This record gives sequence, C-alpha cells and structure tokens, in this order.
Amino acid sequence: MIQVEHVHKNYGNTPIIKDVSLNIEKGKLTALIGPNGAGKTTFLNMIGCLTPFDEGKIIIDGVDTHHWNRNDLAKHLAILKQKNSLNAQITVRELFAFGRFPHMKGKIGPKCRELIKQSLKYLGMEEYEHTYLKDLSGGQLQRAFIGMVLCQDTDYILLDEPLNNLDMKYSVQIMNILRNLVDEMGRTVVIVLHDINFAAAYADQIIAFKEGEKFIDDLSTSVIQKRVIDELFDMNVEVIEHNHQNYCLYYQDRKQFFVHSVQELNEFKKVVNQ
Amino acid sequence: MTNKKKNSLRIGLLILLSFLSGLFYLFFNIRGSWEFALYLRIPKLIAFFIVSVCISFATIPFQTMTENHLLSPSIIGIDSLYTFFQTLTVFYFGSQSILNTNVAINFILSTVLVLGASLGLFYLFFKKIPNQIYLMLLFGVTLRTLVSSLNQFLQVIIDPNEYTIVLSKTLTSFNQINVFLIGLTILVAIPCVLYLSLNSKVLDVIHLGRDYASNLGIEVDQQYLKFFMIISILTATTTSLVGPVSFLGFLGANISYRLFYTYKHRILFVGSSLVTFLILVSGQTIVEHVFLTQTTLGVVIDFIGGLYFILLLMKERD
Amino acid sequence: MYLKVLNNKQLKKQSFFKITLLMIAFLICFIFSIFVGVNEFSLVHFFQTDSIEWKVLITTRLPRTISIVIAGATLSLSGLLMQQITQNKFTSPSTVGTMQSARLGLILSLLFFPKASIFNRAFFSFIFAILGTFIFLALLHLIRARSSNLVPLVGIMFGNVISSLGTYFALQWDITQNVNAWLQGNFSLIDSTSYQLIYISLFSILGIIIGAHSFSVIGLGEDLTIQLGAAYDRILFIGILLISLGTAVVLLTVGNIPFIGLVVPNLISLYRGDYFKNNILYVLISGALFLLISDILARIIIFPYEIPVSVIVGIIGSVLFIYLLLKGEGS
Repeated sequence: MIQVEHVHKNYGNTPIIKDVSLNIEKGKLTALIGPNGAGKTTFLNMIGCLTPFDEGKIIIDGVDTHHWNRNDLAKHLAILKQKNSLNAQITVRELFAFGRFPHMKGKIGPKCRELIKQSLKYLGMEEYEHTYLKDLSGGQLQRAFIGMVLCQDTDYILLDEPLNNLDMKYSVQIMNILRNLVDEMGRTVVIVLHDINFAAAYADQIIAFKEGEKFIDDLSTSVIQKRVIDELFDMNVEVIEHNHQNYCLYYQDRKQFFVHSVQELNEFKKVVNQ
Repeated sequence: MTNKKKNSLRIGLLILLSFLSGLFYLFFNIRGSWEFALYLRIPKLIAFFIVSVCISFATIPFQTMTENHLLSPSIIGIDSLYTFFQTLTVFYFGSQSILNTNVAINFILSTVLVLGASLGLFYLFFKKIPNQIYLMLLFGVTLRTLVSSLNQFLQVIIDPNEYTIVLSKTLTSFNQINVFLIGLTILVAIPCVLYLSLNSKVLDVIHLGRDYASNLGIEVDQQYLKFFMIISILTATTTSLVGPVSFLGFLGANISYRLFYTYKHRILFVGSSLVTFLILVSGQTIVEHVFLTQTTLGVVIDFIGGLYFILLLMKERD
Repeated sequence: MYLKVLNNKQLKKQSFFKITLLMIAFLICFIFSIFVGVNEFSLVHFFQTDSIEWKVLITTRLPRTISIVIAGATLSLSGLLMQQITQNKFTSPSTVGTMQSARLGLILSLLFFPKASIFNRAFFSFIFAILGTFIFLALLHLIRARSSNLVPLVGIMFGNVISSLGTYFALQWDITQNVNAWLQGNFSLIDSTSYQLIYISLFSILGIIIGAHSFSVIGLGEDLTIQLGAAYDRILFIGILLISLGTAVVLLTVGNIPFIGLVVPNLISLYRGDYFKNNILYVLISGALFLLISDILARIIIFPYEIPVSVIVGIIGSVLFIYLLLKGEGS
C-alpha cells in the first residue's frame, strides 16, 4: 500500500500540492483525474520519487520514501512519464531488457530471457522483437514501454497520461492491458488520465484533484456523478448510465463566451468594414 | 550480418588502420637521423593516443548526460578554464615560480582549480537552469572569447618572455609535447577511464533519459555529479597535453555514433578513441608534410569541426 | 521576439530627460578622451592654432575620438538593425559572420591586390561582408526551429568557420602580422589620413535612420510584413547592405571590435522595449559612449602604454553577454 500523509509542496511561493492525505490500495487500478494544473502529475511524480516535496510523508510498503534506496525502490515501483519518445536506436527487445536493470545491473540471465519472452507474448509484440523503436507506431511504442515496465517486475506501476497521442483503438488496447495486469497479474496500477470516461470504464478507484487539493477519493461509480463532476470541472455535464457503468457527456455544455448587449454589438459592427 | 558483428569488424578495421597510420607517421619522410626523428615523433604519437582516449571518454558520457550530441566539455568551455588558470598563475606568480616550472605541481593545481570551476558550471547547468542546451553552448563560446581576450590583455601587460610561456600553454599545439607530462597524465587518466568503462552499462541506461534512469534505479543526481567530475579531470588532462581542443571530441563522438549505430557505450568508447586517433595522426601527417607546418592542426580541426557542427545544428529539431 | 512597447506620452517625458543625461555623459567623455594622452597638454596653449597642442589635437586626438564615436555608433546601430532583421536578440555583425566575412575579404585583398588603396580594400571587404551575411540568412532558413539561442549559435559558429578560413589563408601565405596590424582594434594607429574612411559609415547610419519605419515593420517577421503590404525582400536587402557597409568600414579603419553590436542594443531594449524607431537615438549615443569609455580605460589602465580597445571591449562585452544570457533564463 502507498500511504500519503499531509504532503505539501510549494513552487516558489505558490503551493501546488496542499496538505494531501490518502491511501492507494494494492491490487487495484486507481485513476487520478482533475482539471489542468490541479497537481495530478506532480502528485504522481512525488509518489514515484521523481519530484521532491516540502512537508509530509509518503510511505511505500511500509518504508518512508526518504529511506528507500533508489535501486531497491526500482524493484518495487515503476513510473513512466508522459514523454515517451526516444531518439531511438534501440530495439523492442533491448528496451525490455533495460527493464531488468534494477535487478541485474546490465547482465541478462536465463530468467531475464524467459521474462522478456513472456512479456513479448503477453503484449502481442513478438513480431516486433527486433524492430527499432523509431519504426513503431504510437500504440506499439506505448506497448513497448509497458513491456519494459513489465520486465521490471514491480508491484506498483505508475503512468502519467499514457493515452496522450493515441487514437481510440490503441487507447482502449492500452487500458485493456493495464486492466489485465491488475486482474490477471495482481499488479497495482496508478494512472493519470485526462479523459474521465476511461477512468469511469476501467478504474476501481478514482482520486480527483482540484487546485492542489484532494477533491474526492472514492469508488469510480461514486465519483462519476453529475454534482461531483460539475463542481470538479466547473461545468454543466450530463451523466448517464450504460451497462451498469456511469459515463459523462461533457460536450453538451455550450455557453456564450462573453455576453454582448445588442448596443455593444452594433457599435462594434459600425467600425468594422469601413 | 547483425549490427553487432558489423561493429566488431569495424573496430577491427579501425585498429588495423590506426596501427598502420601510426607506423606511417613514425617512418614517413625521415630526413637525417632516424633516432632523432623517432625521438620527436614517438612522444607525439603517444600523446595523440592519450588525447584520443581521454577526450572520447570525456565527450561521450557528457553527451549522454546532456542528451545532446552537439555539446562537449570543450565546447562549453572547460578547457578554456584550464588555460585561463594557466595564464593566471603565470601572471600572478611569475613564470619562474615553482607552480609553473614544476610540471607535476602545475598540472595538479590547474586540474584542481578546473574541478572547482566545473562544480560551479555543473550547479548552473544541471541544477539551476537545466536542459538549456543552446544556452550552454553560447556560454561556452562566450567564455572562450572572454578567456582569449583576457589572455590578450595579459599579453600586453606582462613581460614578453613571460608571455611566450603563456602562449605555449594556451594555444592548441600538437607540436610541443612535454614528455614528463605524458607519464603524469597516464597516471591520472587510467582510474578515470577504468571507472567509466566499468560503468558503461549505467551510461547505457542514462542515455534513455533522466526519468527513465531514475525509474530503473539510478540515483541520478549523485551519479551525474560523479561522472561530471571525472569528465572535468579528463578534459584537464587533454588540455594540459595539447591545449584547447574545441571540436575534436565532438567530431570523434559524432562520427562514431554514425559509424556504429549503437547506444552501447562499451563499443562507442573504443570506437571513438580509434576514430579520434586516426583523425589526429592522419591530420598531423598531412599538416607536417603537405602544408609544411604553416598551418597548425588545430586550425584545420577547428574548420572541419566547425562545418560539421553547423551541419548538425541545422538538423536539430527543437 | 517579444515586443514591449511603452506608451508614447510616457516615453517622450522620460526620453527628454534621459537623452539629455546621455548627451552630457557623452560630451564629458568626448572631451576627456581628447585630453587623455601621452603628450603634455597645457590648457593655455590649447587655443593657439600653431602650438604643438593644437597640432596634436588636430592630427591625432580629434580624429581618434571622432573615429571612436562613429565606430561605436555604427556598430551598435548595425547590431540593433540585425536584431530586427533576424528577429533575434543575440545577433550582431560580429555574431553572424559579417565581421568575419569582411575580415576574409580584407585578407584576400591583401593577397591578391597587395598595392590597393584603403578604399579599394574597403570595397572588397564590403562585398564579402554582404555575401557572408546573406549566406548566414540562407542558413537561418534551413534551420527548422527559431529557438532564440540556436540562431546566434549558428551565427557564431559560422563566424568561426569563416574566421579559421581567413586565418588559414593568412598563415599559409605568411601575412598574419600584416593582417593583425590591420585588425588589432587599436585606435592609436589612426592618423588623419586613413581615418577619413570612417566617414563613410555615416552613410550607413543615415540610411538606417531614413529607413527606420520600414525596419521597424520588418521586426514583425516576414509573413506579417508582407501581409501589411511592405516590400520585405527589398527592405531586407537594403538593411544588409547598410550593415555590411558600416561593418566593413569600421573594420578597416578601427579594427575588429567584438560584441558591441550585441551588448549595447540589448541593454537599451531591456529598459526601453523593442520598438526600433524609439531606440535608434539611444543606441547611437550609448554605443558611442560605450566605446569612448572603453577606449579611455584602454589608455589609462597601464598608462602610458595602451591596450587594444578590442581587448577591453572583448572582456567587458563577453561578461555582459554572459550576464544577458543568464538573466534571460534565470527565472
């Protein structure tokens, strides 16, 4: 379990994470959602020990993150950030092999080879084993990185907006893989998502952030409710139910950008097209 | 044929070429006494070898850490710092001071000073304003100009005899090699080279990027600092032997990337050392026998390196 | 390039005061510059036209000071214009290869036309300066990104390449000392005959002032300029012509003065924004002032010996440049 206790982070004089406390349970898929700048990515990076914080504690599997040795942590927790591009003269297989680094420091033993083979199979990447990363499509590339994480063989997998730049088909594919990792392989997945409907469809638990604070932390069915989403995103949405799942229709919220009086409009029209 | 096998072949070929060009350099066009010619040429050849190895081991990890193939320790000005400290010691203490006459003390002092200054650069470019590649480059170029202006300033101020000492230390020259210094630099370079070789795999991981490296268990801040210090020492070594080398490391590294098409540092280190050695030896042979030493090798490398640099600059995507 | 334009009224009020201040500083330095020197200078004899003092004044001091003023003003204004054209804060004649191309032209003219007059050499330099600058602009088009640090980097590298080409020729045909004598940037070598050339750069300054409005528009970039109906290519060409003219002439009369075209306009626009027309006068006076002060320093520091001004400017200039670089990123 990941325990977050009263964590606070400032950027200069501005607080960007304000006194957040929560727990992330093992064996579940947890989604982090919220408006832009709410602090989701920062929060994920803090758990993944990529960004420091000013106050509070984060405890992963009973050990405070300040006491975790980086290398040991890498055997328990993997984190993938948004920008998954490399100028890449690496093959898929080599990328998977990198995942073994925390365990093997660069040597590849028989167990590693087996794990790589199994991971390729699991992700349907066998035919791309020796393809260079730069020759892969967006979806394949994302799968390749998940493969690396898979070979890293960690309990926790943290992903920051992995569906960015992926079309519908590949987005669904990645989410299916992540769901399988939780259900079939018992991993814990924490994922920052922009599209709340993916969170609705795939997540067990949803944590929402607003302006640096924890807005809500509950089962996904409880979070995808009109009054919650309205307040979180400051919009006027519609939530519908389909196949025992809630979904959010946010495209309907049309409003005027500015309110113009007829007089103002006419004055403007007069000056144009002189 | 797999890339791995091709690379082995290429390395083999390079070793052969290096050996042959070395021999050629030693024995071609000897006028007069054989012993005397060899007495002059052998130290140079050894120096070329040391410089090639040191500069490759300094440049490649540097480019890996900064995730950019344009930079090199020389280009951001570390070697200018070295020559500046040389100038300063002559100016402040006089050329007769033990700091300047005793080669060992001089080398150690300058290297320590460079290490200190490098720490400052490291803090500035890796912590305070990281990922500003072009800024680092501009900074290096300007630093070079500043140092050159300061040197000229001192030229006018100090005694002309003192100044020739300064000049000999601050210009790129493959002609005057101090034999004692060779032994000293080998001593200093070996542990550095060894450390980097043993950590080739770590460098491989780092080349993926800072965040991936962190994810895979590398304590990035600490490790970068260690590498950076070693790179500074190696750069100081090169500069002490032949003066500021600006584009040499950059040339060698970039040719190797294209030649070997791999990220594996184990191969790149060896390959780049050999390529750089070939550039130096063949370049020096041409300069000595074709241009008849009117032009120094430094000018030629600057010119070709500069052109290549512009070419790569233009291909860069922001 | 981000435009910071101040309100017209505010500008006018501040302007008057600041210009006056600058002019006073300028006059003081001008007079000081005339007086500093190796020879004894007695104020009493000063106004007697046949005295030694007057002769010294006319033949060396005055020409020298005038050259400094014009050189400083020309290079600074050229820098300002270059920044408009390239839409980049860190370009200047010495950081895009113009200076170096002019130098190459000079070296080649020394090789091929050993007996040419200074005016011929200037013309040769001028042509090369134009060519070099246009090659640089062509390079700019080939660069995909216009990142503000990439452009001067390419420029400086390009300048270095041209420079080493020039050095190669100089070394190979053994005229290095001759070249250095021309380019040292040492005002003490000016006498009343050769310095006449510097007046040509007044044309450069004049041309830029006349075209100020067009050059202001160009700062918006090619697309916007064309969209507003201005003849972008023609304005560009004339601009380059004027810059090259000024650079070549200064190079030949006064020598290689680095950085001044970069540092002075940047310092001015830090306080006054980026509107070209508004900055011209300031840049002219500040440029002249900067060089005057540098020259005075060059003459005082190891009095009675002189340090070449290019060295002083090189030191101050590079420190200021580093300051500007870091200031831009520091936040």
